[in-house]
Amino acid sequence: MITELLAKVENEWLDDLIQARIRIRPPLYGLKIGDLSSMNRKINLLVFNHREKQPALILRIAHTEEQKAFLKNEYAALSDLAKHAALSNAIPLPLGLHEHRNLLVAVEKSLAGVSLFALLLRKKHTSPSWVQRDFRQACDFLCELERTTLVGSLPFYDAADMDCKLEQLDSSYGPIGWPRGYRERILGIANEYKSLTLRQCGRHGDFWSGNLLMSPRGIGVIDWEGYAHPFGLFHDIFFFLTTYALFYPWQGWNKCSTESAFKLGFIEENWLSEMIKDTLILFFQRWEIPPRAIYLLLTLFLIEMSLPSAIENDPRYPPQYAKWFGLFQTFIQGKSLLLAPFK
Amino acid sequence: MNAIVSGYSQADLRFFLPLMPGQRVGVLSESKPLVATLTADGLDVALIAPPATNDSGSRVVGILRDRSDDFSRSAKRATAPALAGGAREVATTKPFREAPIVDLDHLIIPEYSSDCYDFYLSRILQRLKPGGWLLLGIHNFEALYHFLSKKRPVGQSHISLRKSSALLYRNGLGVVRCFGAYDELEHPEILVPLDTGEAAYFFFRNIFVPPTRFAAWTRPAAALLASIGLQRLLFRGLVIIAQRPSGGNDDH
Repeated sequence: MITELLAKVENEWLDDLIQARIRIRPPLYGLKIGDLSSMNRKINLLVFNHREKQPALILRIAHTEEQKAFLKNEYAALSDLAKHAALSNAIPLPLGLHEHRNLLVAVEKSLAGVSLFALLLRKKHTSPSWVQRDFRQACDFLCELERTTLVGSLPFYDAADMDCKLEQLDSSYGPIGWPRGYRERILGIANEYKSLTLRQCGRHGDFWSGNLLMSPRGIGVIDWEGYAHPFGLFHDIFFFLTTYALFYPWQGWNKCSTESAFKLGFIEENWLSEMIKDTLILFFQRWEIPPRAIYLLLTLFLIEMSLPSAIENDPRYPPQYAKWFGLFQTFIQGKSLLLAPFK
Repeated sequence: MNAIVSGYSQADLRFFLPLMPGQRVGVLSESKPLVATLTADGLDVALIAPPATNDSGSRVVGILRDRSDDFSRSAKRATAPALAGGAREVATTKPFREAPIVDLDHLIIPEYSSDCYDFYLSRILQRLKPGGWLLLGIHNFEALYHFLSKKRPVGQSHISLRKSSALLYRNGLGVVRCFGAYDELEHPEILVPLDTGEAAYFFFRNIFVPPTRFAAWTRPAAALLASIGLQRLLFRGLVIIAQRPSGGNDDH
């Protein structure tokens, strides 16, 4: 089947590619990559021209109805976002969506770069200067995404919304032993900032270091299947920073538990937790959201990720929401340096 | 590695063959997801059981046969254990003496390991129809990993790409493509084409995540070896795609 798809690229789909100024030089070679965490697997095929060291295309192949729906969503999102010049170089350019037998194949231009996740696991980009640079690039991209997809604002979460979320957690995980005064504090902050508004814009949906390709030319963002529009502003930045803290090589080549990594990133005092805090404050400063309100949004993000309904159609095995609930518990029980200035 | 995940990785291998609904595919694998997905794709799956060995482990004493054989159409079929996707496996200790039936449109062997590599594989390959495709995963005898690692894999027989190609040629098949499986044949998450070194070079430059400090040190060397055309030495598992020409079955 993969040989047939490569033949289609060389012949049947060639005109579209030439129009998009993609050079095809047969014989083509396909490098298959997959998602180890996923049971409901789609296939990604990097297509190389003959004697070229960078892939020219990526074929994303869906074979179940659920995958096809995700892939169509991605293709529509990329087609829309590619119209904006500021984003077009940082996203995979959509080149065609084709049916082949019972498969749906999206043809996209391949982006250059190495994923930030791979760099971290190679112990690269781990010094403060690199981390600051990578954070800035990620935030700049999110700001650009917000600017180009902004549709309006919604009222901030009030005490009733927060109370409802806490109730949902209680009903999902049984009675939760909340720290003393925690519930009152959260509801108090929500009341304090209920006059704020929250911008509604596009959300990538899976904005983690594995989907960010770093290259000397800048950042590239892949895997847009979870794109949603409009959506609250904060999801992507929190998802990026929390998962970054989890995958950062805190102990070099030794493994660091998820809970310890989260503590080091958001609870304990070190240069990276300071940088994460500063990045959040700087990111939300543009929209005049003060630090205490950021704390509320981070809490809300962790609650939403902890609910079984949080990640719709999560294909990973096992589902991730229980892991997020562990992080939420760590967050509310720790005495966070990150939260100190918010008090 | 999670068994479910590894099974699903092997199931992806079906995309490397031009399978059509209604065709008969022989599968020598314990991967239930592979069998289930093939069946779901409308293929007629014939399970082929691995070779049995005697106590010395050196000689095949019985080859298990699938439901396509005359023997398996006997009463034993009714009592055979049901497997994923509706396929059935029929076991027998009866030695395989009669001439094999040419009944398979395609053959998938994700991970082949046997002390009697030539003999057993030749017998299976004879069942492949003219024009049929083979996917064969082998543990790479030439992989540098075996020379550098202190770990010695147990229960795996290692075969070189050259020897496998020669064996396939003798059985009337031609190698069409070859891929390096990362990180192992049990869960071939990434398949890197080895026809030229560029894709392997890209893999080690851009995708490879070193699991150990040693792997991180050797990564630049691996990229260098790929750039000079020695990419076949860099993968523990190889996946060979071969085809029997439409013209003949026994041209060896």
